[in-house]
Amino acid sequence: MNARRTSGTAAHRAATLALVVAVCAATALAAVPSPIALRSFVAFSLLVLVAGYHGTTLVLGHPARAEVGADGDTGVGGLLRVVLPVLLGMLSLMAVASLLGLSGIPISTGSVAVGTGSTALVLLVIARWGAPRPGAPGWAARRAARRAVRVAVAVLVLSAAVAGAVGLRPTPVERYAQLALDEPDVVAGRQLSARSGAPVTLRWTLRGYGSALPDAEPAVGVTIGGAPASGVRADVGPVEPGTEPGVVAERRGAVTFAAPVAEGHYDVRVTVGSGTPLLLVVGLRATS
Amino acid sequence: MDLATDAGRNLVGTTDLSAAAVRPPGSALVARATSWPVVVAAAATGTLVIGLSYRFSAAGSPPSQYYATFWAGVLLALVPLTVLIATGDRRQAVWGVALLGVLTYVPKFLRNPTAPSYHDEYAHWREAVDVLSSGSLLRPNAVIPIIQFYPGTSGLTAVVQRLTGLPVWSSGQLVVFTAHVLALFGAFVLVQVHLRSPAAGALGAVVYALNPSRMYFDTQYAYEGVAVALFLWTLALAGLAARAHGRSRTAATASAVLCAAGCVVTHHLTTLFLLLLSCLVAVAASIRARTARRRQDAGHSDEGARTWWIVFGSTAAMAVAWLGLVARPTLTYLSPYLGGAIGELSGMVKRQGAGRAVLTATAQPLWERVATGLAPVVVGLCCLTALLVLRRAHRVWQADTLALMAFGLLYLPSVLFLLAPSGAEGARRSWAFTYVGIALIGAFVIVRARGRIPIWRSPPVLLLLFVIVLVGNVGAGLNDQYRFPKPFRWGTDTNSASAEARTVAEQLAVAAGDVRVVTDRYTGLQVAAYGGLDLAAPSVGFPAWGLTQTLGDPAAPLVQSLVTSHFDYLVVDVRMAHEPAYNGNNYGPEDPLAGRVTPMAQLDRLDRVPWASRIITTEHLRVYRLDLGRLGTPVAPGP
Repeated sequence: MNARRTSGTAAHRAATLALVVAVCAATALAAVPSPIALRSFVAFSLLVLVAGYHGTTLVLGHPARAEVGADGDTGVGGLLRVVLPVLLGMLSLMAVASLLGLSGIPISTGSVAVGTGSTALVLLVIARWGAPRPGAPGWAARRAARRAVRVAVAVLVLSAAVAGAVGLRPTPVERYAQLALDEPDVVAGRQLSARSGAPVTLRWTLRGYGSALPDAEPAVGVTIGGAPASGVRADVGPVEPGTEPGVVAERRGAVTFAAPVAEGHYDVRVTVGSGTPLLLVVGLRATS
Repeated sequence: MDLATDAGRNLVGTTDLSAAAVRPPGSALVARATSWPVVVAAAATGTLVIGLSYRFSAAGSPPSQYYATFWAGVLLALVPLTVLIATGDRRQAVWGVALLGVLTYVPKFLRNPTAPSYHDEYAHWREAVDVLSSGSLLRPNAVIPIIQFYPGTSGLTAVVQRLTGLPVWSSGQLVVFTAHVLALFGAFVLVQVHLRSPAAGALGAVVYALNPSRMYFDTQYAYEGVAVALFLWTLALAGLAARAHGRSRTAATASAVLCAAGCVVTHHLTTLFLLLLSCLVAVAASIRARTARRRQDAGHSDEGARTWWIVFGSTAAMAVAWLGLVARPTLTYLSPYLGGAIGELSGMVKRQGAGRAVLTATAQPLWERVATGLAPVVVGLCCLTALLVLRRAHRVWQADTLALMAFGLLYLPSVLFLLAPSGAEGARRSWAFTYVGIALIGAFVIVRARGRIPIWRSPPVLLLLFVIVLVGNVGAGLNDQYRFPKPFRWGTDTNSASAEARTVAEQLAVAAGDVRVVTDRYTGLQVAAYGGLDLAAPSVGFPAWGLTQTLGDPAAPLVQSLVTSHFDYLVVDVRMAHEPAYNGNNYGPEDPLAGRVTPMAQLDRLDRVPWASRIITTEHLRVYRLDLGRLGTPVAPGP
């Protein structure tokens, strides 16, 4: 009897140590740059379930004791042992977020990994302190394995169905061009002004979304107060691959024109493109 | 004593209708048709058919086609599963409820699997993005300012994102999915604990899954989804604690308080309902225990009142502390909804015919609308049956069980609030809570009272009622534009979104930085979510619509408000000139052009005024830099 208890205690200690090592490894894995699959399926799952499982043990008591002489998993206790680890795992993550946020510690990958790992470790140590468990009988392990295979097959089938259902939806591609003024001062609200007759230059960028821009240079026009501007010179750059998300191609350019001779406030319209050109409108103050 | 064995004794020690008792005649055939492989295959096929219905709706097919396909998919997936839950053994019921959680999550997930689409989703997604980029909670939010003070969902999403490395949207989906499944198990445990029957617990989870908010509203990426799960678990664990003793009671009470704490930091309205309900239950339990002591009735002398008071008191203390220290603006935020709805309802009583038109001018087919009308009737009949049975047998049940059932009855009058414009929103949000009581009543009637009232004994009748309530309640939840992906339609929260608006918002943020913007309520969702920009909230006191919805220059008070508040940019989508907004207005209920298109001349005029420069443009969107100081400056003719 004593030998059995000693062996059970040794196994319990070894399992506890293995879990501590696993939690530390999962914390490290979550803290350093590693593949998403590894972090999601290994580090995240392990940290959440260790915290949740041991939190459940603290709430419900040790399963080893509960199983003795009772119709173990027939009542709400059995259901709780399955579901509470997930609930308490989620609450432990919420607690980490709240404690980090409210204590002013930045929510970074490192702080979250350490916070979650520490929570799991604390719950693990408290729950397993001096509570040796008898090993599960072989038939129970085999039954659990069979059940796990069935669940895994169901998960695979349903995941495939969800992926198929997502794939059934056509993905609409919006094809459009966007013209933006590249004059930070004007965008920031500063008045564009120039001396009468002096050259004025406005830079712009044309971006193509969903499809490339035409290779042919776009027509560039300038009107001032509705009349064609004088001294117009358009410098149009080549089509280049887009540098921002979603941008297939972009073309930068600038248009130079002479400011009106007469003083006053004018509206300047710059059109870029053929067919239905895109329009920019800027106020210009001509001074003497 | 262990809580597990303690609770187990409670269950095993009382009369329980076994699952086999619910099994209908011809059970061998039913067993084959509801074997696990068949149920999983039906679920997978149903999921594909739901995907097909979305393909039809996205392509602009007639509503009759995509509605019929959608319901064929949903019923194919859910009917065999529900029969399995109702007739299978305890283990099958547990797995069945897990699968029910997955399948009731699938329609909303397939609706927009990769990015936000619902109004509240934009706000919560942006909040999580801001928490991650700043590293701190409580970030200001332009779409729904109040969510700044309830960081449960965004904090949880941020932690999941940091641990997994998944995109923010996927991390949020993982959070909501987990909470969605947990909520059904919360209902399972709650009903099982109160009705002392695992079969009732499983059926209670099914009934709760039928609540009108479950399939779409509470499954969106928003704080309700997470908070409702915590609400249910607080009640379930408190009910468990009220029936346990010693260490078990302490552990279950502590767990319930922990769930309540999560609820307090996640959602204001859920916390309010939790407070109301736990107070009601505590009062009922106290009265019953006092009466029992007076009558020297040992059976009801301990109704767990102390547990319920602890849960209520702790939740109240945490809520007050949170309101006082962090979330002060909550009361101002919530008061207009309640006051407005009650005012509108009383006004409608006085003036027949006023108010909101329910189930008219909608794409919903007639049969779904009929089911929507019948669903509350079925629920009402169920409640009536329960009342008839409980009239004679109420002493058998604990006071907290009866109080929760009584709370569920509030669902029936809440349906009336759909008739009031402000109340419709409140009614819709209350169903996730009142359906806790309906789940108890429904499971009670099916498992406990079926022997006395013949109608509840017939499996085909039960299945028919299940289908009516399922179809009707989903129809009563969100409208066609929310439920189905559709071609672009101006003036909806969901189907007015475009890549064009998103990239314009992103480009404006890059070019101008963290600026404040005036725009319509639909483009505003994209501007705030993808650009992270602050939005004007038009109102009578701040009629920001004056920039586009009138032909003249903005009035002096508006100009002063815009200048002093630094609303320096205006984003216009010219599609507001092509068709009237589906939702009826472009700038909120006070929009002077509500119900009408904005004349194109009023939008084109912005290119001729001295106080606006068009700095970004696409086919449909125009971004203006405002300089209202130039208002009145004469514009010179061409040289």
